[in-house]
Amino acid sequence: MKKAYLFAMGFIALGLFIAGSAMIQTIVPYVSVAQARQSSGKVQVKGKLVAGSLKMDAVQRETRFTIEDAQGDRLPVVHPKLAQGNVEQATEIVAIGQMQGGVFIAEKILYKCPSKYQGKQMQEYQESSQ
Amino acid sequence: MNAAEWGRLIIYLGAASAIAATVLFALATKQERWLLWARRAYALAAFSAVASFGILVALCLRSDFQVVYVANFSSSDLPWYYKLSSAWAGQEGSFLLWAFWTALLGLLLIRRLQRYEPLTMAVYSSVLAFLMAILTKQSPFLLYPPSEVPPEGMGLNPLLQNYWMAIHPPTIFIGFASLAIPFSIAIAALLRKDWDGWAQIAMPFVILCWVTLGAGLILGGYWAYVTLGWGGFWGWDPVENSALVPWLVITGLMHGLVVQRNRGGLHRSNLLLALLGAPLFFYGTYMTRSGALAESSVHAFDALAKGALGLVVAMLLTYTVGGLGLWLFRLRSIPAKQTAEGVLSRDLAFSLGIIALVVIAGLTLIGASMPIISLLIAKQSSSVEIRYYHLANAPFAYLMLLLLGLVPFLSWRKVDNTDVFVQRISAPWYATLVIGLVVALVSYFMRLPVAVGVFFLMLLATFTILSNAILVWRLAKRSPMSLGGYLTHVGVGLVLLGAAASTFYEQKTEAVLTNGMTAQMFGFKVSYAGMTHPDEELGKDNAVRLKFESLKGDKGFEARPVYYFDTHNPMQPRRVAEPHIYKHALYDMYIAIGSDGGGVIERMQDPGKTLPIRRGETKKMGDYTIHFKSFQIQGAMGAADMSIGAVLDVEYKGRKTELVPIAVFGKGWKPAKLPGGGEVAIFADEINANERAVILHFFGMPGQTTMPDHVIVPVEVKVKPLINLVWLGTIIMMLGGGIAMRRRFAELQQEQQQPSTAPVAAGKQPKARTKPAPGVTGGH
Repeated sequence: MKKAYLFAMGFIALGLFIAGSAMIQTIVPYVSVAQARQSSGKVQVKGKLVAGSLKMDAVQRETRFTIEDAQGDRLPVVHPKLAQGNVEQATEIVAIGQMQGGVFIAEKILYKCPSKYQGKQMQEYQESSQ
Repeated sequence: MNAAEWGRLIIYLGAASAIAATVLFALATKQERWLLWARRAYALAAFSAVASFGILVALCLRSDFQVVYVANFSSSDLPWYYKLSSAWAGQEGSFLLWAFWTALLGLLLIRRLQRYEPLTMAVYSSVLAFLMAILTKQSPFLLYPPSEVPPEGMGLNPLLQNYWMAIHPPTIFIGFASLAIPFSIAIAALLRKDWDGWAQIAMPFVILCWVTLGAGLILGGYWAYVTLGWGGFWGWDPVENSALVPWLVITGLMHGLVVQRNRGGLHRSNLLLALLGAPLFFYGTYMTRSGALAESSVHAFDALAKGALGLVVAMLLTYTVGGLGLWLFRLRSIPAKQTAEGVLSRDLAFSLGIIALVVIAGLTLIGASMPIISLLIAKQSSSVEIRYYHLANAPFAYLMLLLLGLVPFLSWRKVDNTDVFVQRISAPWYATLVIGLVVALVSYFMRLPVAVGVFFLMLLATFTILSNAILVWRLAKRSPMSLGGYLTHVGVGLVLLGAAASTFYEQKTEAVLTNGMTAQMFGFKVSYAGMTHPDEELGKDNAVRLKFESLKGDKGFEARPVYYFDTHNPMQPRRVAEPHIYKHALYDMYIAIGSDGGGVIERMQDPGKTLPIRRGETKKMGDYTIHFKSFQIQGAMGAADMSIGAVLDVEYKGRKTELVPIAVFGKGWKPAKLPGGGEVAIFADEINANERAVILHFFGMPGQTTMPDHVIVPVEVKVKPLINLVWLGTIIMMLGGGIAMRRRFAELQQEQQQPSTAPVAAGKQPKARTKPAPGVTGGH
């Protein structure tokens, strides 16, 4: 019995260790534009869409735009896909990805359009991912 | 006074009488004469909750737009069942639905409590009091001033206009409401220092909670799958997690109670789990409705009004601190008994299984709370990727599945004869290994990407299914009432097998279809065959007809996905893509209108005569000689106006002109006038970036009179293998849960009718009729 308990404890400890390392692997911090510029790994940046900055490049099949965070810093973003729907109306964009040579490459963007509906999150945010 | 004003008043009445019921039931614990008044107060509170919900439903059905809530979530053109579901589509309505079920479940509960009534109902009434108080602060019955009453409501979100969404909230809120039952009974048990009697009463209600919460989760998942067009049934988002976590804890409790009733152990952990369920949901409510995640997370309800939010926080703190405090205070007097006598025993397997469930709940909770936790610890908010939930939970899911496969062959205390155990388990074990080997070989030769972890999960799930199916088969004849648990476990195995296969072995293809063009996708030739209502605008009832012809000569089919912009609010058009799901026994083909390529299905008359051309090329079309000089991209504007032009040198009867047909992104195109009549156009989705090529469309040239439809349809097809196992498994789970629930309610009734023979300390000796394990027990 004692051995079995030790074994079970060992397994649980190992499981928790795996969970901990999964957390470290998958955690993505929300950062400001200034922090994003310094970052090396994957981060998420939230900001307003700078008016007139949105460009959908059908030839390169990518979406480019600039966001401005709460501090007023601006960050150019490239989303390597044509974003869907009504991004131009987005009041808020979250870009998830990492910096590459001064540009933020967003593998995924979430954008919130002003909504008259309350309720489930699906109505609040739309998503575009690679 | 109109109905809405009555509604507001009744909510106040409900809050007041629920508070009165709380106080009176508390008094009744000392003096029995208060009991009658306490019951009357509860009846009045329950009546108020039911009546105010009834009024809201009536207002929604009547499309009474002077009520702000009705105007916000309903409109007069909706059919009655969607008007009905608008009653719980919003924040206020969903709280009222919660209160409604809490009130009704209380009436069911009160009849089964007997000596537990005063204490349990005092706690339970206080929950109803909190809910009604929240509704006084966030009332669904606010009225517009007469001059501002809108003529028409905003309508129900089209995504919620779905059969499944109409029944998902009423179901899941039975589950949420019933979480308060084990909590209240456990508090009563701690105060009474009665360590076994409570388990008897709580058991059937815990299963009721498990079944309704589980069914609600499943319905929500199914709705997401058939409506949202993103192809999944589970996304690990905070709203889903806030229901999943208490459900896992209740699952643990349900199993703990089985151990307690049969073996007289796990008293401490059962009380703890009973006390955690409700507060965990209150916490989830706070997280998803407070806007606490708004700063950092993208998924949350709109924030509650401040007063209402304050009450949610008060509720969370009261029940968390109260419950855990009392448990800790009593901890040393709660018996702790070790019941397992051998490593191979149900006792140990159940304990480990409960630990696995609780750890999965905990890790999920931590993941979902990460934005708050990281803010507190590191002063910087972070969230986790979905991968976290897969990676972190995997070891414990493995453990759980292994135990589920072993349990049918284990007996309580310990397995007496190890040889018999090994012999009995070898059939499902070897069958699993053979299946695993076949799958591995097939995957290898078909060059399917095999993730070892996923494969392992599927193997264990198969083992669980086989082991439990064998036992269900045997029990079906002998004692059908006792097979609920095993049947449920077959379902769990099927769900996890189907979920793993359909998520990790999914295949995806995209194609852009135009008139006369076909694409090959998964053994089908796919072509566009018009709209179901060709003369109408795109809309909810106007589906795209896609012809799927089998390349292998099998029967084809026509897919009818829907794609439109919801313009209920013209300022904020919303993209809606309802998929078409082609059901096959072994897989689903999930067909949705994608939107890469402009985001809109564009319609016009006629493809005209087409001419593919690369930049730099010169080609002839009729009397025209065309040289494609360059692209002209105007992207400095917003996406709506972004445009691409093809600069063409056109020579016609010796005269040269420069023409620039333009494709406007997401909107349409501007054709260029051809000399000699007619037009030339290009379309955004046909621009080939790699080849630097476009397709020129010529219209109105000599000899061309009619103008057929021209449509551009971006199609996305996903093949999801074995997803039917998920739905089959959920049905089996609910069936098993239903059987178990019936059995436990019958048991409780029987025991309460013969109070002298029903032992209070049920755990003193294992009862012969509970949970037989054929083949192992009984001295084999």
